[in-house]
Amino acid sequence: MITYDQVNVSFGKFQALSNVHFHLEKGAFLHIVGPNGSGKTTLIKTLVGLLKPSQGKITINANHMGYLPQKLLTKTNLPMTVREVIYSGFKHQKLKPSESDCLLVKSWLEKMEIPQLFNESMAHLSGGQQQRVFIIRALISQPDLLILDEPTSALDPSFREKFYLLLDELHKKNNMTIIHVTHDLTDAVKDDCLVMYVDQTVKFFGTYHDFHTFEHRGHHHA
Amino acid sequence: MLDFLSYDFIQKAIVIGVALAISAALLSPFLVLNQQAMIADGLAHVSFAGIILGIILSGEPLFIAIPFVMLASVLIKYLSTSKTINGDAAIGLVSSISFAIGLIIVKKGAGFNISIESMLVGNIFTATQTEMILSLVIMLLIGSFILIFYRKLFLMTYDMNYAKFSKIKVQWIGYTLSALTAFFIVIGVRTIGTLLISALVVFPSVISSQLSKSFKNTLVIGVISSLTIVILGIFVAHPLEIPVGSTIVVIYAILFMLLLILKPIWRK
Repeated sequence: MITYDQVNVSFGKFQALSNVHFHLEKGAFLHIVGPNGSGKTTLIKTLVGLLKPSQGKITINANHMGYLPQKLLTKTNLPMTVREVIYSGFKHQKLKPSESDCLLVKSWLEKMEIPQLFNESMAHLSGGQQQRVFIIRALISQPDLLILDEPTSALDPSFREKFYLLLDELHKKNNMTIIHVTHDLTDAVKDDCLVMYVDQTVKFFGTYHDFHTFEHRGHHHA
Repeated sequence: MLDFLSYDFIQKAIVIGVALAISAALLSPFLVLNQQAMIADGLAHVSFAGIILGIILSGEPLFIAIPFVMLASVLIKYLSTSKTINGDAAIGLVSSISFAIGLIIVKKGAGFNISIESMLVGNIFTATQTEMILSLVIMLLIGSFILIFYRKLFLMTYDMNYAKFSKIKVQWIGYTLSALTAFFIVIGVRTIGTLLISALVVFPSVISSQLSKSFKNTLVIGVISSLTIVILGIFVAHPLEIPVGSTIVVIYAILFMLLLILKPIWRK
């Protein structure tokens, strides 16, 4: 589904990513880890088309992508409601949403445990509640490839657990391909997941089981 | 009491006022809430040079000034997105250079006599038929543009990266928004004045965002407040013989202060 062929990204003289090379099959669940400033977000930006590689080739075969950017990158202090933010995630933008769109939104609000906030102002929400809204925005268009950049940074621990169960369900039932950047693998990992350790290049790519061996050889994720 | 409404110049002023009020309020949230409020001020300075050039080169200065300022708006947008300099600096550079050139032409240009004060303050009561038609044209252009691209513009305002990810043509839409703003500013400079036209763009969102929690209502309340205040401004300024632009800004400022005082009381 995704192939990176010797991808390099540089900003002037600074090489953010060097010779990134991997292949990811459809239906995979990949966790990307690495220290601060290792190029994880740069890698995600090349995936979602926000950055073009300086060298190399990226091939993605997905019908529709869902994307949750790092929370810090999105403005939340504008006059806008939860409703408006969620509807801006639909693939086809309509002036008036259809009945099925409304039902879909309602079911996601319930899954994210925020149905009462639908008409609230984003600015009045806590960081965790805003993050749940952005998660709905990423999922509302029913993507077959979901890319999450540190989705749980603002979520409380009990909801974080529920969120990972939900991701597991989407992965298994809908065969959704999921790419997840995280600082903390402990909550997230299930047996069949893949792990990628990035530090300017791909230092490790394989199963979680093999990642343990890699870590014990002296590499640590942040 | 309303006898003065039968005068042709008053009717023209009201039509222009309505068209500019709606245009300004429709542009307002997409510029002000996107940290681009100063672009209106910058383009007003560029208009000063554009209109002076227009007076020298043509019988109808707007036909030169409009493309001139639209071009400047594209240049500002290009400079601010090329990462060479930041947006504020791009506006500052292009507008001060244009204003400086405009002032030199006014002082040294032979064969015409322009009052700088009239350019700075504007006069809606001396507006021409062409200015009235062009103000209606720009209202229709801005109205159609906002209606067609509303959701895309909204997404670009609050999350530019997500808009790019969503394959929205952000460059094209951004440049078009700048060019339409430029067109609006030129008409506004002639009638409201170089110094005050940006207030017409800034105030609607500043006022309506105090009253609304949704983006759509911010736009709607902005249009209603803009229309009310511009018409009120014309009605107050004419009998008192004071400049319309200044009157509008003062009414806006009073309303804004009232909102700041009353908002905490309402919340209780």
